[in-house]
Amino acid sequence: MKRGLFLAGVTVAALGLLTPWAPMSHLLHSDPAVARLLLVELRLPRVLLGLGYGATLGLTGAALQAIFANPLASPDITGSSSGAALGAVLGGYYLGLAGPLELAACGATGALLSLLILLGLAGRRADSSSLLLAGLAISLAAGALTSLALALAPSPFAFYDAFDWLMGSLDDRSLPQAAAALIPAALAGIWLARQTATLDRLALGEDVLAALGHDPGRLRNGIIVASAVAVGACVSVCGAVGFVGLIAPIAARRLTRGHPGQALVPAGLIGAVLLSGGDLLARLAPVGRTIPLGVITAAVGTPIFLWVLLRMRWRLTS
Amino acid sequence: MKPLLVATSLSMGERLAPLDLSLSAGTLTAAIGPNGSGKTSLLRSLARIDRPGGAVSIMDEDLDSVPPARRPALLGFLPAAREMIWPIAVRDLVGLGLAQPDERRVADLLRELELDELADRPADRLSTGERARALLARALAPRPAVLLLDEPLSNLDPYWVVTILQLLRDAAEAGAAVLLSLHDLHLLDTFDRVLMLNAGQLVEDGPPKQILHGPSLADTFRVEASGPRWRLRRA
Repeated sequence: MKRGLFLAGVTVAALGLLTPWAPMSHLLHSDPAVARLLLVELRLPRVLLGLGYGATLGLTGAALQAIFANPLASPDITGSSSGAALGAVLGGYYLGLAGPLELAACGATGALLSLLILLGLAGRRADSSSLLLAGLAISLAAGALTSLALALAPSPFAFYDAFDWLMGSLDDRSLPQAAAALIPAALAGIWLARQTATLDRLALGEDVLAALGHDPGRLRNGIIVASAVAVGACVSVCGAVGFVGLIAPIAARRLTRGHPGQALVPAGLIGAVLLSGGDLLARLAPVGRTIPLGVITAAVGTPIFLWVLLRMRWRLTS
Repeated sequence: MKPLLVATSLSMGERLAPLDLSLSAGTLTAAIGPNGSGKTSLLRSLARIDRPGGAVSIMDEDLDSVPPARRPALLGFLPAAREMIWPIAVRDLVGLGLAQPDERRVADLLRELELDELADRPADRLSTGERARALLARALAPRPAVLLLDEPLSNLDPYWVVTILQLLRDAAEAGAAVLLSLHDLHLLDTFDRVLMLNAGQLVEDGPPKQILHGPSLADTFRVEASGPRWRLRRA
């Protein structure tokens, strides 16, 4: 199963490097050096970010769902993506930070604060309504503050600059930017993937996990920090992309017989394929226009989200 | 004989006053007491949940310093809450507490608790009683030296009350120490020993006969025996 997902990832990555093919084939004949530049400087960071950001959303979504014991938790629904965006905007326009790593740190701080506020508002083992309401409140507040920060920013072009970034875009990112997003995300992701067995046992409840010799508080804090670092770094470079972090773990758990922990790595692979696939669709935009990636994931994700909600309601009332 | 579990100065804030306790291999012990008397706090502090005070050792190993890989062999804990959010198959759920996968042990438990036919059903789609049995099987699976069970018999029909008491007796005869909390005082004569708690204090500790017919039962529960029934204690 993991091999199938891995192959799908390789396929979308190859398509990502080669699509659109026409300018590539043209350049390969006329100017191979420029073709190489196009491939390495423009398309490679885009493909790496698509895979890495998608994997981050899938992994952190699965880990957050496991610790909140709720299949609706995800980086976007918990408000951590919006918090990361606010952190990056404040760092970029008010603290005058320009280095990708500094912005990634601002994003991670914003995501961490959102998750801590959520934990305070909704509590551990949050029921769906308090999780959704608290997450909604944090998202709305962070979104409004981001707009305010952009409106009052010293740069008059802040709104215009930030528009396509805020809705998610992998376009025109450099290799150093990709590194700033993906190295912290990879380190956090490796730590998260190592919690697989513990998160499966967490399905039995925090008390049983503690009786089995684990420290549930430390696990929860670790997952919140790792998720904030990974999501914050990616959002600071690629903007907030919704739904992937929600859908990928739900799909992954269908492949792992419902195990919340074992779903982590498959959720990462599914997230990578989903986001890279979404980016391929985004390239169908008319020349000179861009379709924000978040629009595509929302178009695909909203129906699935509603289906999950309806199914939960149906199960509660039946 | 040396006790299997030794707890010293065990406490949990205001919910459980400091107490010393030991449990011997081969014994079935019941913890009783009114709602809020500290039964759950006693079990949780023995299982080292939520950083309780005091120290607990099982087979001379201090639980606080035993690594997770060793814990399942020493201690099994079953909480009173039986909710299950994730659609994990019953078979997998029973194996979740094992340090090493053991399909045979899981299959044996599924048979003993008559869960064979539900083995592949997601645990979130079981009835309360079925889920209680699956979660009990999970706690029994690693054959822990000490079993701490919080109200394992509540909401079960009589067939399962008797069957599970027999399973726990079997575990005790195989060398385990079993401590469980319960509300049904009619079941007490099945046990070797009874701990009675009230307002966070251990008020009685002895064989069931002594406690059932002792004076503090009526004080603790505010009811007294009237033939086969309970009636409110006269003021």
